[in-house]
Amino acid sequence: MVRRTAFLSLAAAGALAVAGCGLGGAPQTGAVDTSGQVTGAITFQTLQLSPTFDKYLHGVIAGFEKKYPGTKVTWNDIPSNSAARKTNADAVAKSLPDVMDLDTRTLAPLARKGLVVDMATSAGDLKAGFVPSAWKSLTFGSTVEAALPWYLNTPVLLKNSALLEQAGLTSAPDPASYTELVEASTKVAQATGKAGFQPTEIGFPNYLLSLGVPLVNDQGTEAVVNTPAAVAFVDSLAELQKSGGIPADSVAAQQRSEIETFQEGGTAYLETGGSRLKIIQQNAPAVYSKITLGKPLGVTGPGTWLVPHGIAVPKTSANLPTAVAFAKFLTSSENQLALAKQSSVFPSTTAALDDPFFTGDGTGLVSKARTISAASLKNGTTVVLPAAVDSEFSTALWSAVQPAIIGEVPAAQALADAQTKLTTILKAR
Amino acid sequence: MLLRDRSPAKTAARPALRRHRWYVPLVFVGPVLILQGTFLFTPLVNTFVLSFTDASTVGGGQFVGLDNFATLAGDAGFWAAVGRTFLYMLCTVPVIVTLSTSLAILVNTSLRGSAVIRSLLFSPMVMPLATVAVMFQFVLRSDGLVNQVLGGLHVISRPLPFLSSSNLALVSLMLVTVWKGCALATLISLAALQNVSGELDEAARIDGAGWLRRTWSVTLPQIRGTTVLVGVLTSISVLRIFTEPYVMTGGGPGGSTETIVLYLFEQGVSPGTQAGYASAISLALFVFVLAAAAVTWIVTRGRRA
Repeated sequence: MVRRTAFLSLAAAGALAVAGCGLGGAPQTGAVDTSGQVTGAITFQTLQLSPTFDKYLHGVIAGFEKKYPGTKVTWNDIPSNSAARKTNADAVAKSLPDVMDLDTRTLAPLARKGLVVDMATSAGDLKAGFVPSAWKSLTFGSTVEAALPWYLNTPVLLKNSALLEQAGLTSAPDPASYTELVEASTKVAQATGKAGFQPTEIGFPNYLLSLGVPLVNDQGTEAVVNTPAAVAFVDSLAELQKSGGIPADSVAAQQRSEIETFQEGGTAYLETGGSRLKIIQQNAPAVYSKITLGKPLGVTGPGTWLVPHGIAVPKTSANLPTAVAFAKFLTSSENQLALAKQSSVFPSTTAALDDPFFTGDGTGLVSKARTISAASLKNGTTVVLPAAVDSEFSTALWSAVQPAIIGEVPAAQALADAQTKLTTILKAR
Repeated sequence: MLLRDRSPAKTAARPALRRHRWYVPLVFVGPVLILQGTFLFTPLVNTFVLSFTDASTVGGGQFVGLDNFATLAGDAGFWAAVGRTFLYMLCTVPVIVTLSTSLAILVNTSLRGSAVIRSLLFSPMVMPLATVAVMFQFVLRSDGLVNQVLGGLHVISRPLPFLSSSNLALVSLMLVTVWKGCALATLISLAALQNVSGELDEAARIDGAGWLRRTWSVTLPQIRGTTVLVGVLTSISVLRIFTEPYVMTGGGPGGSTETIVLYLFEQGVSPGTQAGYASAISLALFVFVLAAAAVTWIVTRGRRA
């Protein structure tokens, strides 16, 4: 009897394990019908918006429930840094929330596997109303539009005027490209002993893209990073590393440490979202008082980078009509404008961006930054990385070029290694 | 003696007891079994199953047989991480064992102020490893404490790239592991020293043995078992090293500090990566840990015999 019980327990555990690891049944990846009556309950998940935006989101939910009687939206907010883990676990357990606020890093694997509703089909009529680059940023191969664009962020160039004055660059035009940023950084280092800027893992693919390096082929199946322009740029970073034009510990630095370096007065330039201004004001008022603003790099050329958040609906949702309706309601111009006015993010619809709030000639840095970033979005000077270039790609690329930046291997060899490694990653997907 | 009573009455009663009370031990260990089964056994079986699939972190996947293990066998990145991790183990474990044993012997003496020194020695133990790693990141960076002290003493003319050099980064991480690992190892060794026979030490002293001779020939042999235990525990811990490289260098520069667990993390924990392949890596790591423990056990068994 004991043996039989033990055997049954083991069999049950094995079955549970097999089911738990996602092999218990094929996931829903084909086309789904999202039409139908908008009624019933759905769950809605956001990333770290509570408690700051509690009032706003409760208001949006109340508005939706009023517009569609019989609906009930249950809102859940989770920390940003646990979003990937929770989303992965929910996807495996087929228990994703009906409506999800996701960044592209977390959304990409769901989209590549075809686990989310294709908004190009379910909400294709809304495409014309969105900023084109925002719409494009949520396109992932087979899933044409993995989410409806929600709020966006795009940078401005923060300049430490005290360091630029010492370097004699006060009256010089702002660097307009990463090549010019390298040149300016050399001058800053020679004159002040401080760095010009701090290169980052997240920023590196953007640097290459703005230099005309395609990063991947048209099919997204092979990496293309070993080009003469890329080699020249990495070589210039290696020179900067020697001369002090970038911080000595750049290759070992944590993500977002470039903001700390800037607010400590360690770099002259920082390309970041305007929302960082308030943080710098709080942490380093002396540096804040020296900050002047410029247009982001690449904005007069190929374009500047864009960070989108999308509203996605998983195909496993038990109430697809209501979920899609809520996604549309939440991302409407009115609701996006209301959110943008009480935060430092930008709406993804062109109608909301036309509001005078984004064209005001305010005198404060925050207001000026808002105007500069909104202009990038409205003028179509934002670009998005290819869909295949996600966090895994960025990490592998940055890891491969690190030895070249610190002068241990030639740039051409590092980029050739990177290309091989990245192609292997892309082919495994 | 009662247990050995083989009277007919007792032997007749025993089957009944066995039949009705076999579950009693399970009642006592049941809660622990349920917890272990839920949080240890099930994930372990899950990992084993996943290692034979091409599942991604968002689910799905088909059985692919031994493909993941075949890929693993030819994965240069994996074997580089294995070599690096074993090098890490070979460099840190002897240092931790030697240093912790030496420190335990020193603080075991009843000198004035030894209580304060004990507290200082054990303080790394109460600090979370992530905190220690961040702290050392500040200490070891180009304008950090170590470079400033060395520069101030004119030992170096320019800052040493402790974390930004492929040659120095791994050594820097080893130092952090030794600093942190010594605390617990010293505590265990100190506990063993409390049980060392004073009479043997006294006898050796009467025979004219000096402090060093008594320590080497009398004290250390008596705590050999504990020293081996410290070595095994530290080896297993170092084989699974993750926090130091993850926080301090991210595995860089250029993968020079990428350990097995960090490689596993990059291959199958980040969104959209290969959970099946990462499971195969974790099973390989499991085998390495078992092998390390087995080798140590076999070696020490021979000595004990």
